[in-house]
Amino acid sequence: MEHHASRTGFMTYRRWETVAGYLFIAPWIIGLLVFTIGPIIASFYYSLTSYQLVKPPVWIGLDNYRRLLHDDLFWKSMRVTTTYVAISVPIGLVLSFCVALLMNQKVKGIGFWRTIFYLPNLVPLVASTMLWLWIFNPDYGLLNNALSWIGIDGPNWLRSQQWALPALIIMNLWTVGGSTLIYLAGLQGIPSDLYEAVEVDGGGAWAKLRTVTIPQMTPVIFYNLILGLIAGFQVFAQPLIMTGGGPRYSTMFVVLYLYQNAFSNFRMGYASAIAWALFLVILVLTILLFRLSDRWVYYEGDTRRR
Amino acid sequence: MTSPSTARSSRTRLSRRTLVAGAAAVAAASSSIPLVNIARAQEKKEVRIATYTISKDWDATIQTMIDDFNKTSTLADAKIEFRPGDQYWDKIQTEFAGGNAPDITINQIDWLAPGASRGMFVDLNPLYERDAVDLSGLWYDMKQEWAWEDGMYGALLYAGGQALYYNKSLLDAAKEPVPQADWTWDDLLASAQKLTDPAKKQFGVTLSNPNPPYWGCAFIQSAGGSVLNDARDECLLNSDVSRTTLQWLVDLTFKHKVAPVMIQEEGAENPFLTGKVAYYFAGTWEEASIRTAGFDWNFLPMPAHPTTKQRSVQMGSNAWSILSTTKNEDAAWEVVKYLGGPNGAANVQSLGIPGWTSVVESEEFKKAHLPGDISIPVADFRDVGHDYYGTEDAGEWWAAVTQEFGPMWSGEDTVENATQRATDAVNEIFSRRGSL
Repeated sequence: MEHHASRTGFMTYRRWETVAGYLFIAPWIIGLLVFTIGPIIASFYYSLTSYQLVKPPVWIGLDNYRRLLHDDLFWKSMRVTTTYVAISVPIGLVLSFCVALLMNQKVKGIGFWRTIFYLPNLVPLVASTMLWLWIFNPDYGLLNNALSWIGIDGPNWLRSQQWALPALIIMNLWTVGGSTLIYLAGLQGIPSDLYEAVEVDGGGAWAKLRTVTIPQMTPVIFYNLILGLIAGFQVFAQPLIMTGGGPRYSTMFVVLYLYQNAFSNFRMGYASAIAWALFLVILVLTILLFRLSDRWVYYEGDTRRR
Repeated sequence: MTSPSTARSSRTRLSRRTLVAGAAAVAAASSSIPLVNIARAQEKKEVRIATYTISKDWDATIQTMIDDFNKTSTLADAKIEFRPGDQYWDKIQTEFAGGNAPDITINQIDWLAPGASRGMFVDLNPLYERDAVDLSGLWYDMKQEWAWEDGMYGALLYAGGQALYYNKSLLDAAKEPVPQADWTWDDLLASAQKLTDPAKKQFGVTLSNPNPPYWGCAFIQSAGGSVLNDARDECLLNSDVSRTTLQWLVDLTFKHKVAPVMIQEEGAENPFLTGKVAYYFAGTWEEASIRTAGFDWNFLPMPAHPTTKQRSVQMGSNAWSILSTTKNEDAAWEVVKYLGGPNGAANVQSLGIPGWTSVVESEEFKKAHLPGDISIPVADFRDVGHDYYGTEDAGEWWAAVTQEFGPMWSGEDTVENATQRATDAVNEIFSRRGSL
């Protein structure tokens, strides 16, 4: 009897612990359901409707997706976004890695430089975008003035079909400080005995970088790659403020096109379909990168064959 | 001491008095029941008004106007909400869909057709008729911009649109005479050539936004053309008249070199405000900035086309509209009736051009716009004003034209290519009407 009672008491305590746990995380779960899962489900439903926001949605099945397949502007926006990601993400990864290597040196005042490089990430996006508008100004801008010192007549950056997208890629590099910080944390976690082993083998700085630093950093590189990919596909504010997607759609990113369909053209259903198409693209690319990561990402203690 | 008889008599009198008083009280109480009901019915209803904020002056003026209304109104208690201008319309639509939109919103002509066609606004015509509001004092034709199909969906805040400014200081320095009222495009070009000085990066002329439906339209219309057909279901930007006109505008920059590249980025320096441009085709809303630019200036009438002798000016007014989700339509109408009436208009006379003749002819109004002669744009709007080609898909086709014309204004593409692409894009948008 006594044994049975204590067992019941134990179960009650366990149950109470479970209830308390759920109660503690309830605000987060409610937030997730209401503000994330709910809108995701709703957007999928809307993608199957014609929904003009101020009138109730009308069920149209897969028509939005069918139209998407033949929408030249959608494919143009996909090309623009993919080009941006394909160029800006690798450049950003390499640049931030190089900066992190510099910031990892044990020299006087390094804390100051680390702060300087991270500072752009603290500037509100709209403010930094306005700043870059001035930098890219063809007549009075900093960039063209600097180019003129070396005899180059700078282009009309944001009003040129050829230069508007490169301008946004250049602007993106300003915020490499975020990735740099993550690399820096990774670099400081590399065991020093690995470097000592290279030294014992007679290896120099290049050998250390090639045989220790880069392999050890592959999980961090992979992490930054995934984040960069997702952020790149979701670029929105910069083209909205700086170019409006122009000139002639040369900076029409997918999310901007989605936004214009939703809030300028009042096609919420179609915009939802674009959102799901974008989600699928990001999902497929992320899965692909994870599959490929087996070939080049090194995890300490991972004994799987490569 | 009171004797029994006195006491009896007194009780009797008291009793009668009580009866009379009681009867009176009952009568008063019963008669006051409907009065209380009426008072309750006439309790002021709160009316939420939303507007975007433009400047401190703007906010203060609008607040004063609302305060004036509240002092006299017995029906509505108006509460103004000043909101950021960015994505204002998007947010209003979202609130509308969510059922928590304000009762009244400031409205722009580019929101009118998309909103009215989707049932967002209350038709004011029946309310004007019900209250027999006298609109004969308006010099401004509200139907031109605020009517959609058979309804009227806005009460004018103030008229506005294209205004031509000139920098008198630059003209005086170049000893260039001020153009006459009958001047033409040729006169404009000749004067702009004299006022251009590449060494100083000084130009004769510029348009703040040349894309249709903005200031480029005025030139096309002056030349006898149109951006859309009368039914507004076909784009005419690839017509000979449109192309010739747009070529003339592009030539100002690349052939005659009397204008800077016309499309400027958001936040870029405005060359007119820094005293580097003589003639500036802009909006009436830019008057406040020009006033503080630090040079002598005035308005000019639009120049006429040299052959057709026609002139045209693009309108672009603002109005107050009642959102159809309002639960206090009568109270909201009371507010809108005041704001759109002559008393409300008098409050905003320094901010724009009210639609009431009595206000625009007042000395107070004219003084508020000095050194500019405000009667010039008033006359242009009244005599040759043209609407913005509002359609339910206005936002979409305006954006398409802006995209396709971008390379044309920057000299990267020809007028012929850009106009053909723009025409195709606009017609494609029109062909989708009614689907999805």
